[in-house]
Amino acid sequence: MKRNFFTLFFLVPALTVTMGCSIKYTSSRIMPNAAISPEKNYFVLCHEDDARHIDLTLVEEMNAMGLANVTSGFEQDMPDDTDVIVLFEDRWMWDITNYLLMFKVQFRDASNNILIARGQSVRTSLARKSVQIMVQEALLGLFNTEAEEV
Amino acid sequence: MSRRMIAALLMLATALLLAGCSKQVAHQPPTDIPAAPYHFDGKSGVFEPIRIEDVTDKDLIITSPCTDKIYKAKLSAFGEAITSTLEHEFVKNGFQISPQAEKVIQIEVIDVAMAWPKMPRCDIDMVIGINGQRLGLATNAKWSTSIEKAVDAAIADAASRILSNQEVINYLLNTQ
Repeated sequence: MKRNFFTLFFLVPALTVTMGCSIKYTSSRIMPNAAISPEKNYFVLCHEDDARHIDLTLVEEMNAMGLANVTSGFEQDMPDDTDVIVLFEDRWMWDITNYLLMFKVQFRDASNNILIARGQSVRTSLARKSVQIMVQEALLGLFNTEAEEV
Repeated sequence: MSRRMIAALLMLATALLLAGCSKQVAHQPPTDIPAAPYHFDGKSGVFEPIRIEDVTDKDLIITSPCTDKIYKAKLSAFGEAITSTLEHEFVKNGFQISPQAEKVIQIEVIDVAMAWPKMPRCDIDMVIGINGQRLGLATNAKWSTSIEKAVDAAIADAASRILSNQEVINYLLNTQ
């Protein structure tokens, strides 16, 4: 009986901690009176710390979601006819291997920098997924207009 | 230890975990937060009186998951806090705040989102209306040790970004 008690004494906190390590959520929002239109020209702005070329994954996923006019590069590469700038932030953590902890994307009007839409995907170590899946998760809420999340 | 006791313990642990996950935080920022350090590029002198108008949606509440909690942000509280901080800073810089002033800066908070890899950070998105023009501004405050501190840091950062925005300064100094 005593052994069982000690097993439980360690098992319950271990279970709680382990479950805490497995957190995932997505959150997305399109601003009122704003829309992500396929007719517009989108430019994914790279940042210098991104050695993994997440911008290319983002372009690929945006194409897959119906946006045909999407390019990416640094600020100096931005075409003059860009309507929407797409910014992203990626946070990485190490737990045996590197994994993407948070991916955040923002769509901004190129003419005045006003936020049009944003999406975020967070996955902790035990719920880790590939960059592509997390990019999809962050974008999905923005393209699914029926499930508007505020 | 009986099986019943083991089951009860496991259920208790699960209940505690679930209770923690659904906890809601509704910290609304106070109206006396000082702005983060900024460089106001205005020459000292006598300025035209100004008015800061908060046009943030009064009813919108945005929920944002953060660690094991859900943060509920009432946008109007953020609008009020930023407006109040700005008024205070403009007075410090020699401006006169008057409700009748013709020169108006409109502040509209359009989004509040929590980002929390390990520590929370609050991101505020605003639209600044000056002279019929609309500008988008976003905060980039540092990570904080609690949701409350993250919110307050974001307010301070928001005010600082408005005060050091060149287009806002040009409008205030009539150099547009």
